[in-house]
Amino acid sequence: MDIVLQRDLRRMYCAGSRARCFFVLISCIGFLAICRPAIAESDIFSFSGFGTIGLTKGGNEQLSYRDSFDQQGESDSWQFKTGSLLGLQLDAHFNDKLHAAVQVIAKDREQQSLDQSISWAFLQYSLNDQLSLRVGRMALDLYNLSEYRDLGFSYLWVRPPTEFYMPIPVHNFDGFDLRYQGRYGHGIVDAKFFVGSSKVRVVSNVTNFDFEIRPVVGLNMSYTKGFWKSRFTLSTSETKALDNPLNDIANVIRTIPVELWPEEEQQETLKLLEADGKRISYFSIGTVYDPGSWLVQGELVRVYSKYDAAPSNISYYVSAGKRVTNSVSLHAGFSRVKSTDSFHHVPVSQEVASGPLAPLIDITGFALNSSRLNQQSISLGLRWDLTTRAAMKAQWDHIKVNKHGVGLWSYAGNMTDYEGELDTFTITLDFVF
Amino acid sequence: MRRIAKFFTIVICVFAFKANAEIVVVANVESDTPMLSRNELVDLYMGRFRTLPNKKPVALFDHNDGSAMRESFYRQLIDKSEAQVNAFWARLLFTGRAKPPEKLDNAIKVVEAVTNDNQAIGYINASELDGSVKVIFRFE
Repeated sequence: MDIVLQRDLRRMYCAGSRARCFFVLISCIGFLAICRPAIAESDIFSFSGFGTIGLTKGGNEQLSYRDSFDQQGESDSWQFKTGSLLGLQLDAHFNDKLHAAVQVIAKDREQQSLDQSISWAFLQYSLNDQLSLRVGRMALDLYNLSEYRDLGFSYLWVRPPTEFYMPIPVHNFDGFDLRYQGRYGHGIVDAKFFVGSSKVRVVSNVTNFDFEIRPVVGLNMSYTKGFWKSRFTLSTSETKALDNPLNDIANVIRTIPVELWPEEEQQETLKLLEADGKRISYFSIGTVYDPGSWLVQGELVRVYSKYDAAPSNISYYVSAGKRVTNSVSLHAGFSRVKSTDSFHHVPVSQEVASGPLAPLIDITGFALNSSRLNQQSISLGLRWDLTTRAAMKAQWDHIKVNKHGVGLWSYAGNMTDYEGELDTFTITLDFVF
Repeated sequence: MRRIAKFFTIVICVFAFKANAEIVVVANVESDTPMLSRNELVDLYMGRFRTLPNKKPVALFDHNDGSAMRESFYRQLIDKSEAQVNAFWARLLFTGRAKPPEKLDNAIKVVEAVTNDNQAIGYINASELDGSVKVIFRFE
């Protein structure tokens, strides 16, 4: 099929440019590292960084493990690829009111580019002691850990709970945000309003999805008092399909004569495949309880999606951690994600579905349902603070993938009906400098 | 009489010894920085707020990584280990929210920094107090 050929050609081209982009990126990082002493002398500029060396064994014969949707996926053997990264940040504090920052993260991505590696670059202006405005590229602050998901050193787990943090492929956006911070009662209120747009790439084995969300608008608010912090986020976005393979399928469907595929059913199917101008909204709440040696936290999100190929879902996690000695903490948690829309059956009669159009019907059904999620995991882990700037962690995740819910994984062929249990083992070294 | 004197000497010595381990937070004598409540101090040293009650930005000073003073200070303030403290400051730094406090070698440097800046606050051992700085918080 045309789609398959295009995919292979794209892969071959990407492999070469990937290596080139990665080389450019490493050179930039090397250059910045050399400049560091010069920058360190300055009062305005400061240079800092963080990283993770992560060894992961996940997936099985059928499913390949990955940390995020912009990765290819590695199967069933210990590897450093998916879980390792290096982040570098340059801050410029021009005066009390004006601050600029750039952060670059080098990690495994299916397609490397400088644009993708810049996690954020913004200019921040403090209007007064309570309000500040930022313009540029920033983290999409939907959840508790959204702003620092790549900073392994700052949390107990080896990665933020997968079932909760992985489903949203958008990590940053270009636009502006307005932040308010003030005292209320004996606590602190922190509120943020943001508007912007973002380009996203989702890697799948069939082909890659490039799309844009424009605009994305949201409001989040948190209240911190004593050991408690609670927050909620409301956000909505509209999709703009850039390179959408669903369009390729739709174009093929349009060429099928109505004798083979009735007009009405064709139109219904085309509507399901439509990826442009679809609204996706998020409502989330979260809590952290952080007294001395305990750390208990949980979050819940309800995603409403009008984009049929990326169905609505609900996901949540709870986690409890305890510092057991001066440098060792243990944690245990549970997380779950479940698509709430019903499974899409391509609206054709049994006769048409089993005739010569069967391969096309199959691939359409697959494209509509491959992002379905229905998965849960329990995890147990340990964090050992080696120094005040480096920590070592080990974690075991036991995952149960339910039928029609394998969307987080990377695989060959059609795994929509897959169900099973598997384990991920991870060891990391997280550091800051 | 001698026994009473001896008793009081011992009592005074015990208190003097205790005073050695006591940490105090200090500010410039000429500044309008008031006595801080524990909550206000936590808010500053956890990067939640960047301004003093007078609404002007604070210049926060800390001790070096791994020093006994730093360990003791954060332990008493929020019951967290130094690694945990570095973890949440890293969070603030790498989300562009706040700059970690400047780290100094010893009490002399802290006193120097505080006397040079009206908006500066830092912490030292109570025994290292002299008249050049004022105390704005004491650990009970």
